[in-house]
Amino acid sequence: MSAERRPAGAAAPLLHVDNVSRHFGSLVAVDRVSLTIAPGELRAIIGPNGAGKTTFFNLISGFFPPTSGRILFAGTDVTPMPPERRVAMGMARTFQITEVFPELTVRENLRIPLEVAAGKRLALRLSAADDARIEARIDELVAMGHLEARAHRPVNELPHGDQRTTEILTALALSPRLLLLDEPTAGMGDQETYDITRLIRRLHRETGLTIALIEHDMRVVFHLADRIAVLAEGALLGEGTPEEIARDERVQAAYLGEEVHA
Amino acid sequence: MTRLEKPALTAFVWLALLTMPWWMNAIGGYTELASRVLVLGLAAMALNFLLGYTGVLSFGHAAYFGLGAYGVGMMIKFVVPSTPLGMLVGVATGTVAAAVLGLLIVKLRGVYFAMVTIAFGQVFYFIAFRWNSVTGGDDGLTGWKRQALDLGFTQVDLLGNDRAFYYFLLFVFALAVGAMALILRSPFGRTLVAIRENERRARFLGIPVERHIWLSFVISCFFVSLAGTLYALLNNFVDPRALRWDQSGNFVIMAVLGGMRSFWGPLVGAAIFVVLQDYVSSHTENWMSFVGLFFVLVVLFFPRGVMGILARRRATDATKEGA
Amino acid sequence: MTQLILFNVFNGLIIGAFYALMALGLSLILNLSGVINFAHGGFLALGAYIAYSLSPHIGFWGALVVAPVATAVVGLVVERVLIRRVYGRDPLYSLLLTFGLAYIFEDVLRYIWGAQSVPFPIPPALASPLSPEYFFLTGYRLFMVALVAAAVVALFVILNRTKLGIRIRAGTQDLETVNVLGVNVRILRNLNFGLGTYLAGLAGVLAAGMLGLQPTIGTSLIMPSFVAIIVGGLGSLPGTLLGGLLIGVASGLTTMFFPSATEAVMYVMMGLVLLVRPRGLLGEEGRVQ
Repeated sequence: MSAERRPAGAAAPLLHVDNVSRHFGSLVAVDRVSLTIAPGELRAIIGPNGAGKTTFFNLISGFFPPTSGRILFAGTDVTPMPPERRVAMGMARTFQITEVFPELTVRENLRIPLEVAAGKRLALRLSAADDARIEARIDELVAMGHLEARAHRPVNELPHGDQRTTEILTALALSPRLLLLDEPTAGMGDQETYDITRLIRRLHRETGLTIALIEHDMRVVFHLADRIAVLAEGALLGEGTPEEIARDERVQAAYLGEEVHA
Repeated sequence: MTRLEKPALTAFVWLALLTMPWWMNAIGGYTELASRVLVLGLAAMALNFLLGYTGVLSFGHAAYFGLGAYGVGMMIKFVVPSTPLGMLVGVATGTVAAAVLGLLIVKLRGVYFAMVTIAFGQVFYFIAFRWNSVTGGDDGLTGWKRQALDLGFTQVDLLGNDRAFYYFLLFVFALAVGAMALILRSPFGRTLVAIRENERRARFLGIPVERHIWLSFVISCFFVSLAGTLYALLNNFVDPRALRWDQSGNFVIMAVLGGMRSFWGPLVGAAIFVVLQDYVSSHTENWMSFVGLFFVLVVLFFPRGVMGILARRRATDATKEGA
Repeated sequence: MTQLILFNVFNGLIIGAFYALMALGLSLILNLSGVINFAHGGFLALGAYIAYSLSPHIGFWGALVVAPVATAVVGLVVERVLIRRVYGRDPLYSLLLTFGLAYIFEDVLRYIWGAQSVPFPIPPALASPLSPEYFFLTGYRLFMVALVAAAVVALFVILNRTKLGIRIRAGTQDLETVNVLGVNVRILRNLNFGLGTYLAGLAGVLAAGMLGLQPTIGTSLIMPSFVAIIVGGLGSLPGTLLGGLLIGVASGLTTMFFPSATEAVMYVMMGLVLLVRPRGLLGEEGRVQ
């Protein structure tokens, strides 16, 4: 789906973060970080707790503006844009703590972003054709998350793993060019972690979707990522392929240590 | 969310409304009481568009209700003795005021939103109260009456015939409620529910939250102004109390009492409130204490409202049957 | 002319001091418990009527000491029995609950003391003007301003120096942490509510001496207190104080030039503040959302 939207000359980065900082009072949460993500890449961002990973995602997605620096998305400077405009340009995200529409069913959760993405957020009615198209997309997404049996139930009645899957599906419903996942496996059991990991890999391999994810589970990171960026104390500590990162001594000293063997 | 209510319930509500002048008289009420239920029910439903379906806590809706009321009264008294034109002016006044003030408040949330809407509501109260020469001040706007409706081929006597006026109200009510249901069932209506459910998720799915809250506020105030015009026509009179803060509180309690998550809930709440107030105030001087106590009891014991309790009972029954 | 302006500024300051005193109590409760106490005006009126009933027996000064304390005791009970039940719930419910309480207060006061306005005698020593030229400077007015100032200073000393006050301030910032550190949050909120209603009671006694007494005295003062909080900035007590004084002076000056807009002017100020600086003059960032 995103393949056809990808600009010609795929060498141009999809996301270019240019020397971005964010201060909260005297605290420097993100410190002059520069990073590029190429189209079709699956990028993991790792780092110890409090390294500024979520703040970094919040800056990319427009949750709050950076104190300094620029963010370019598909060649456009999006730094001053509110989140909804970045979404309209093709950026979608999930949150560390699951954010869904709790009292609505899975299908309703998916219908809302599909209607928004179809430019119908102000519409007072849908044509039968539009409605059929949206219903078909909901079916597809529900199948992708293996949620067929529970699609008509309110999300807050589903287990945690299904709620997180629903959240990822709502982001996918926007047909994004860049998907930002903030700890997709947080709080999940082994089976759920496995399912989500497989879903992410499928998305990446089959549709060529560009994904950036923050993750603590190193099995997931090393299994999925094309490249890894390491943040520590708000700064970019290193960047490279999983092999390079595993060998990098500074990274190990700062962060990996025993966890890489866990 | 798109399923507003079961068709059977909707049919029952319309049947009850169509026959209300008869059964209201049968249970010891009178036609005007039925009319009041309809008008205040519309106001509470209009508020609930914002409160229950967008999740935004406005405590100042009486302001727009009152503007609608003064608009129609002043139009008929000073400009043109025409009921529909007066209503048009009343609704336009309330809606424009809401559109302007709405711009100032859409960034605020929760308690803060409530506080600012309450405070802004009082501006219009003081204007109506102070601007004696035009509004009649504390004594209210008198010396005008609702006018017969000229349909071209016939005239409908709204003033002399209580029943005719009731059905006129019901006609307007039906149009307004139909429009609200249409909006709530639409993609736009779903974005409002999305904001209620999870504002952050809504924003990051591409909904410009402030703009949609503003729209919801203006739409809600449009309908509450309409209810205000009907209220003035019903009483042939307006006074500043129509736009004072306690009126706003009454609308909120009607919505909560009936059930905010139900389309018809606020109408049910309004019916209970209006009938109870009529009964209590005819039996004691201290009706304020009763109303106050009523607020306290609803908050402590019926926070989900009548329709909420019914829905929950149905749900528990269903689980029991399933088990 | 100068005299007239001075008169109106001074008048505005007195009114503003009332607003501020009442708004500070509201703010205290709002900041710690997230409850807009709509019944705050009821507490003010209660304090005033208690003072009215006590002063024939224990004199003005005795009433000034006892009435606010009695109001606070009622506040402690009301919090314990009712308000406590809506903490943590949608703000809708605390609003409706205190709304209902405001109704009950007004009606009960009317029932006990009558709907008619009654005078509240102040000591003759305070009633006379200090000089014929500045006729508006009665001892009572000066005394009131001084007392409000003293109360405000005392409040800030309590909040900054005493254990209770420091806990209230800490709880306003982060209630959960305060709870984890072993502070009994239930008692803290109870005492805080008592402190807030004490201020309402004090404002009531002072208002009674100046405006006379009627059951609606509370409801007429509560809206300006809301405006004071919004103008000053949510979460900031100095902001609330500033907001109260500002809208008081603004109303005072408007009374002079354009009397029919006396009330409207504070709402215009509120609109301007929201337009330019939605969090209020001294409000904390992020508090409004």
